[in-house]
Amino acid sequence: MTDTRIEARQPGPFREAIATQVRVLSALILREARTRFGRSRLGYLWAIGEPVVYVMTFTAAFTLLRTLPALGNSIAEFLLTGILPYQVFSNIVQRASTAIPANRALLTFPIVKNMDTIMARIALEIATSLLAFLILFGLLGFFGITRMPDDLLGFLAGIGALMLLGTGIGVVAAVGTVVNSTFATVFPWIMRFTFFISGPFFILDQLSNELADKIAWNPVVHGIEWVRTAYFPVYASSHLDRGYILFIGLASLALGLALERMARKHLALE
Amino acid sequence: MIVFENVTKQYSLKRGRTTILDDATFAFPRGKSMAILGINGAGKSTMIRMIAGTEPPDRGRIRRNGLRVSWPLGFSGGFHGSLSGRQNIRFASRIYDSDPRQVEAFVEDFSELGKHLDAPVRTYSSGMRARLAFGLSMAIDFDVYLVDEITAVGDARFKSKCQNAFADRHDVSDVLMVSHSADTVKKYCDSGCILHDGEMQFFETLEEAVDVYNALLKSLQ
Repeated sequence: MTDTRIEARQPGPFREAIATQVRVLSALILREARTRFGRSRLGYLWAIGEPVVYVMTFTAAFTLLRTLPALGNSIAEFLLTGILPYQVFSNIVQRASTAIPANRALLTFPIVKNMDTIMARIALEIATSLLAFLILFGLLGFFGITRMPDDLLGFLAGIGALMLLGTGIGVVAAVGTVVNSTFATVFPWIMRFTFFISGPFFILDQLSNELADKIAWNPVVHGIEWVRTAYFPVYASSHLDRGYILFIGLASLALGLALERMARKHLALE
Repeated sequence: MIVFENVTKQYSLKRGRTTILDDATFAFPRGKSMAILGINGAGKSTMIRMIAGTEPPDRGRIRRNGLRVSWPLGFSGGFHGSLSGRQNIRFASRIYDSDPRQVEAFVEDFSELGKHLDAPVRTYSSGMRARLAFGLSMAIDFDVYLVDEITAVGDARFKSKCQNAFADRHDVSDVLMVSHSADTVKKYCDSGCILHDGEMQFFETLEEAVDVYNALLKSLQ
């Protein structure tokens, strides 16, 4: 085989691959932000408005029922420390789970891979929910509903753990939704159900030991316990297992990546 | 060059499996624009998607050796309907590391879309989409352009514009074009190969390839 021309461009393959990856991801994030928030500013407003609506609704309900908060001085404060972290987790999962069908057209460009579109969505969601979280927490702090967490680092670490878990489960959901229609139907219902057993409304230590042991299999609950032990100095959860949520987070991410690799041919043919 | 090493690829239909490549090893050399001829069902589109990298082989390896290979031209997916043509151009130039302003200027001139460039792509006719897609691929410097049967791209005048654009790039870029018609490829390619029965057969000149292909067509009738 005769090569009549000098092969063009031969940069270090590894450095070139990293540079391409960075370019593709940042272009995808920009584009994702533009399609999501570009047409109106409502998208940003909703990122803050959604958790507020949740917290207000449940605060009203719990106040009517004359329930006392398990921790802290107000129901609103207790619910906020549960619902906001839960939303960070579930928003990542929800955005990730529809990443592949939403970006199918982009696969025409060979350098865009399915995993890029999933990761771009997750990155944008992490940034958005973190920003919304900080703004909201600051705003409520201004009105005296919330205050500075007692252990700020622990508080952020708990949210970070929920982000990791959301990323892992998000990747599994993104691939699972495309390759298996039963999974696609059942998964949103499982997510809706986990909202109630993840701890926005309770702490593990107020439940019976037997029940708490069962609910502690749910990794999300550990993220919320983590956040609450950091926020409320009086609470030292006897069920909190930080290693468990981190392990499930990493394991689900590994599982998601493996699933994508196995399903790649199927995904390409879709 | 683009190298196929022991590549096997099958696709399953409702009735049985079709083998596109069976443990095939070959290379597309640099400096040649090549027609890949094949009858309907031989797996031409799969072939071009494998070269592009959007579809993995069942077994074996495909090496592109750092060459910048285009997306398969001819069908114009890849655009986000709710974004404008211009925003789509910027996205593509970002991922392919090209200067967005240069690319924009080129496409503006080449595609003749005028003020439509700022309208959402979903409002485009299929001809307009094709012009955008084609202009965009010409604006980004690829070493190898993959073409899947140019048929839908506009009127005769636009077709000759496309041909000229490829001719201008002849010294720096190669074309790999799949087709089932020997006539179309004559305008773009200088050599050819035939994809048949899981094998790739290469020929020095396009004429040779076309002769063998026509004989093959006759024998199958």
